[in-house]
Amino acid sequence: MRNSIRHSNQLKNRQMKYNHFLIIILIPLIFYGCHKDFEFQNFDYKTFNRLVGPEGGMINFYANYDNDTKSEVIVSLNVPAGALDSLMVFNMYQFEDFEVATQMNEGFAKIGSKFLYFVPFYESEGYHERGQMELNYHLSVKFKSPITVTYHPLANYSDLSLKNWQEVELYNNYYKTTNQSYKVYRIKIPKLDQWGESYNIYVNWTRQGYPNGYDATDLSYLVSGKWTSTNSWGTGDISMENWEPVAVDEFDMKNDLISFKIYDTDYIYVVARDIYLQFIPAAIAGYIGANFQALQIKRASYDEDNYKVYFTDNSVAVFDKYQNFQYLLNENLTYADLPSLAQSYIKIFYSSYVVKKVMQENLPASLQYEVLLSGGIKLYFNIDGSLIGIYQYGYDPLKLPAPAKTYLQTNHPGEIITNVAYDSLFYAKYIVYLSSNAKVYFYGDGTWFETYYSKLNSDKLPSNVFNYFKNNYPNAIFSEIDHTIGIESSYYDVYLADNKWFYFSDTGELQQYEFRNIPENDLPVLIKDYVNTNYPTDIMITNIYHSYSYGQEWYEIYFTDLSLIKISPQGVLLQK
Amino acid sequence: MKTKKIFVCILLFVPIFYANGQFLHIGLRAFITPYQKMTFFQYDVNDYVYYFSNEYNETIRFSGFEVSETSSYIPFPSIYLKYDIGNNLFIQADVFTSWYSNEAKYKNSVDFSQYADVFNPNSELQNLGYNNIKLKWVFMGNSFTAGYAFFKTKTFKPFVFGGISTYYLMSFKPGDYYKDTRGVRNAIIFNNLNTFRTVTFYYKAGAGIKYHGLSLDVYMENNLGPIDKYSYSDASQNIYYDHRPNFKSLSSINVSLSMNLLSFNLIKGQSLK
Repeated sequence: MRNSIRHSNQLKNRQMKYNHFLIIILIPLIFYGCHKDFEFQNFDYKTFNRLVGPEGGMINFYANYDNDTKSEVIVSLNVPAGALDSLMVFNMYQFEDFEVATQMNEGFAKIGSKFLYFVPFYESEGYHERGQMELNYHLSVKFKSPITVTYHPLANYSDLSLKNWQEVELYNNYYKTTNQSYKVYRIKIPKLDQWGESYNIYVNWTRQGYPNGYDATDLSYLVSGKWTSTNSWGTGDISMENWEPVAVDEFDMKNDLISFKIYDTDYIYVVARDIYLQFIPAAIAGYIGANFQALQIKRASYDEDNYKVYFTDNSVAVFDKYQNFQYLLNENLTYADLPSLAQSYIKIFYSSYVVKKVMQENLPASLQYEVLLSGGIKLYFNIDGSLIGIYQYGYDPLKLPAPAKTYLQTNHPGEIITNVAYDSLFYAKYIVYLSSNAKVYFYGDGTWFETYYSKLNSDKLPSNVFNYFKNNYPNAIFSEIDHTIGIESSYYDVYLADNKWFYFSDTGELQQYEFRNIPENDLPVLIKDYVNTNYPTDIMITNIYHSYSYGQEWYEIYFTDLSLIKISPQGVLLQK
Repeated sequence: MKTKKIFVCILLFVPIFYANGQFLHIGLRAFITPYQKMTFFQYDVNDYVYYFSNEYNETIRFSGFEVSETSSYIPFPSIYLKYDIGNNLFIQADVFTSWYSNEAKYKNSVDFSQYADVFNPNSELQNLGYNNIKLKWVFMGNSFTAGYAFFKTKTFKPFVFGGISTYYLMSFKPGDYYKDTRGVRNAIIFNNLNTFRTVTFYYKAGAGIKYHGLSLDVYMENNLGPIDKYSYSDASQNIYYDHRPNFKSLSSINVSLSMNLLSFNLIKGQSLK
């Protein structure tokens, strides 16, 4: 009995030891069992791929390759069911070339976006070994029903780098100025052997054997018209022969949104404004005939503010919108043609820069030189060679004057400087571009003098301005509201979706407006009478502006013969 | 999920509870893994490709995952119960944990120079995730083995053994340096690889030498049955590549050092010192 009890106690003690032991072991195990597994964000491949098949679907091409969590969409392809007969992979490319943009800007078209195009391939053929010169992989696909493209051309500019001044200039001078006067154009890409067996467009390949877009030189020749169906590769003159306007479903540049349909993959798409003139207005032709008899006209352009006539010797005559002569640009000059003082200045201060272009601007009363250096620096000299001013994109933010740096740190903490421009043409100033789309202006000594805020919400408007629209334009749709705060004046720019612009003082007083595309029927009777009396019936009105500025009101009427009149509401001609 | 894990952890001890015998040893074991090999399912060249819709039209091809060979010299801990049946035979139950990392390598359509220009312009990052992803694994497991010791009268006793191991995947995540600005892309790649079974089985076989309460052994382990959740699924027609099996086999060579801490004569109820 005693042995039995002792044995029982021993078993209990042993069990206790085991229990303690197991508890010690179980604690870390339970800890492990309860620990939270690592979880990535839930992002489905189905929404991040560029595959689509006969069942149709949506492909979103995302911007910010370097930070894909931002999920900004550049292009959406809405593929309806049945548009494709097989599972396809779409590659999307945006071609950008400063030289091409500059070439086209000289009398042909103002470029408002990168050149968008697609290179598709069948998913079943995806990867295969191929030679560098393989051309026959340029797959041309005609869709059975149109695919809708929604393009956000500025989507990937939130992280604009300062590396390339040309990219910065393209962005600020071309893309950002894009407005409703621009259209979508498409540029023909020849199908395989379509323009001749030896004239096919190259597809570049990565070293890994995947298509990497069309060859940049091929594209530049197609865009600039040097290569057309009649001109073999690169032999033609610059033209818009390959360009066709595209019907758009939606064109809202204020919101960076363009929507249109594509029917195949044989075109490049671009937002641009055609500035090429089919004929030269009589007044300008007359002036040229009288003053530049020795020069031969090559082409002419009109870009809202002025007319330009390009001569075969590369000089350009510039006229204002009322067709009055302004100045003559001579682009035939070289560094050697500069006054010696200007040459010395460049040699001393910009010896490491290459002079890319020298232009002479021959104003009626003066002469000045514009010198473009590599790196995007522009120098302006007087006729005697003395420096007038400097303009530079991509100015080093670290070299901003100390007061400017302090101001930015105090008033815009956390914002990224996307670009700095230095401009000393009339007076020295720095323009600092911030990631919030704000622009901050400083004098040469770093003193702040103005800040421009763009794309504000309507709740930022002063109550009296907001009420103005509530009372006078109850159905108004605000497309953009900008607020400029300066040491001299502060004001609001308000744009409505129906092409109306308003300018209010900071206190809410309406000081200016401009309404575009006014219907002809809305013209005051007295103006209608003037037009009917002075213009024959075969000359039609092409556009009407209605403007007001500090108490003065007028209309500007554009006609099909490219003439323009400025007239008061009472029918009094102010300018022609 | 948590309940399930706790339950499985408790189950790991079931073999220990049933390990009754004459001489019972409780001990600690430490093992290293000088060689581990993970193989992946292979696909046709265009059969397992991710076409990412970003600006660079990045294409990740999983069709040719390379064999991953790694080694770990971290002494992983193990607790065991060992029962000697007579002088030659023994059975042993282990509970252990191990952790290690390896890499899965894939093909990237973007040229490396172009990729590096964007993500590593100053060459300051160690790993870009250009064509590989680091995988970090944590396992708990148990094994049940039976062995035979030779030369019962000698001080040094060689022995051989074999058995079954069960691994429970406690944690599986990508390497830390993938928490970068490529979150979406890396998430898709990793989630695609997150197909390892929670519970996997392995056979093991090895040999060693015993000196009193110490023993040193070498053994190999190889998976017994599938290790991928989708090994039997037929997902080849799925264009979005859901449920594609990735992991084909996992084998390792391990070296362990064991030491009996407590030994009991269960019949006499006396512990041996």
